[in-house]
Amino acid sequence: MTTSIDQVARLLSEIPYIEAHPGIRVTEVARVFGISPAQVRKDVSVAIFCGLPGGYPSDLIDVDLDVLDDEGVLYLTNPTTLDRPLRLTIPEMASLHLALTVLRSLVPDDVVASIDALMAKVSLPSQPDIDLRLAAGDEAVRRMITGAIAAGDQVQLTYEGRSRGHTTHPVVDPASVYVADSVAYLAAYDIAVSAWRTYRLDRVARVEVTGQPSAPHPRQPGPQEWAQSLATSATVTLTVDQSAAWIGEYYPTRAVRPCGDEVVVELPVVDPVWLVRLLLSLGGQVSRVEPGEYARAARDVAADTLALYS
Amino acid sequence: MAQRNSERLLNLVIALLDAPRFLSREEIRQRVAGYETAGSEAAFQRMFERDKQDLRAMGVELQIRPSDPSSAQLDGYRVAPSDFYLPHIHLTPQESTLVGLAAAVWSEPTVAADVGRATVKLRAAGEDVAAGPASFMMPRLGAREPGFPVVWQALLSRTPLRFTYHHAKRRVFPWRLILRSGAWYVLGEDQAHGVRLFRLSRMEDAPRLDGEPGSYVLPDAAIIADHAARVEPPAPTATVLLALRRGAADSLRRRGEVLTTAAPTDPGWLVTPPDFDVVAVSYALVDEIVSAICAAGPDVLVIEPGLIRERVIAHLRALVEVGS
Repeated sequence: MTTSIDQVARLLSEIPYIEAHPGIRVTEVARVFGISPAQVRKDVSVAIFCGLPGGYPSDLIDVDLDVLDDEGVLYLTNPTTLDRPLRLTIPEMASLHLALTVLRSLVPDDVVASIDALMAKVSLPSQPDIDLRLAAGDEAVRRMITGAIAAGDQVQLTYEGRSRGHTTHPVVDPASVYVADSVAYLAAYDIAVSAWRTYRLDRVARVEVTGQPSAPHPRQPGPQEWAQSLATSATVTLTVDQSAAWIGEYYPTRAVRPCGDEVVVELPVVDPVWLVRLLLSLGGQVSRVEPGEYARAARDVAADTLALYS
Repeated sequence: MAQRNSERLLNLVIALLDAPRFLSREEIRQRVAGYETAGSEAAFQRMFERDKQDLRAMGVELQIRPSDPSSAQLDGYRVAPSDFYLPHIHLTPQESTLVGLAAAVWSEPTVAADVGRATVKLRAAGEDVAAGPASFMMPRLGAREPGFPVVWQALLSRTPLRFTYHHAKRRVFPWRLILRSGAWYVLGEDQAHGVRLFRLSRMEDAPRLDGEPGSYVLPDAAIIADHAARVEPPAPTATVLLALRRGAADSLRRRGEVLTTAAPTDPGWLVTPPDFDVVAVSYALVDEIVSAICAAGPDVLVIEPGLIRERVIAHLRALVEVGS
């Protein structure tokens, strides 16, 4: 959207910014405002026709066009009272508040204090009409992890991996914390297997510093690698009862379509153990599983479990 | 044309901000450069009405009072400096870095643009925001639901929303946007059906604004919180006693309380194996706890009550039939 509203709203900040930075480069203004250098020049060409009512040259905003053309730098003289930006609008305050709230839930204690100070300084009102909760696990765990990353410490995790259902104690060099689809993850290098691994923060039960420094490792994968592994994995097709149609919304799917009273869901299978657990939890809500090998694997586990009761 | 519109709008802001008193429409038409292109009174009125809307859309608040203090006619306009400017703010370098980080959090484009504008204003207020925030923090918040930007706008501007949900056309006053487990919900008052919680991904058409901004006010916070509580899992009302294999079945173990490493009772039919712990797990919904127990396979045995044990056995038998 490049309407006059956007341009004028931007100029109300751009004019005081350029005035406060005499000799600033066009490219630097473009970077700060997230626009192209050509757009900066267009904005300037609007500003020089504006000023106090009366129309005398001294009433207009003035830009030294010679040095702008020759050197790409800006000198702006502003006779108007546009010397500070327009205050924040309600959507601007709400979006900034929520972004800082997300940060606040991940950072170490000393940074929390800075975020609180910043929110008070900018007078951000609380947002009772928006409520977001991240699956980011225990606060103490989270802060230990971000603290260890900042300090360059190696840590040992107590990790409850869901697909295996077993607790592990990997020693890792923690690298970064990211949030995707409101779940917080730690990307870390697992020393024992010499590979990058991703850990959900809400399944990290404990963090202990090993006393070793964290070492750099090559090629840290980004969050897109998970998407990549989904794209190349096998597909399972489940025919389920309406009462289990939620799986089509809850998990990444390849296709969802109604079929009579039932729903057919195609899911990527990255981890067969995960799929068996899903089938066990669905029980008789599933009427058909393709390929059949997954159904047989789940049946065998179900039969083993039933044997314990007999 | 676009350039001329921008010039006129900017001149109008400056004129209204610098005005020592409320300016009448006629004064605005004569003093503000740009309105001379309006060929008729009607054309000027149309232009001015649209400009007023544009200023409000930018967040510029217009005051309207009589231009002649001795008259009661509301024909004068002004922008009060106290309503206009960002307060003087001095950010520390660390705070500037945080603003830079905040700017990268939202990946939903509409909201990202809002936070981007906020960041630019804070930068323009004088302090330079550091470009290189701590690179190990990558919180990203998005919304895959296509209706999200409209719901966001409706909520923040208190504008009614219209959309189809569960085969019914609805007109809703949004009260609260809620993010849980990666899904966005909007809580609001459905004019025909009362207060409801709507999952954005289940809206059956594109939601759209239906009414004026500021059409309603939010009810008391306690009332909203009360209705919003239905997005949370229900509170547990019963307890099941399970035997969990040591080192396994973590999701059940985390929900429960380990009573002892030996079986506390002798249910008669089952000898708790030596490598199992006895754990009490509370639950609200029978279907939910049965699914959770079955998902853990042979790492879990139900000790009591018998009702849950029977349900687990029936659930597993049904699966054996599917797999045969």
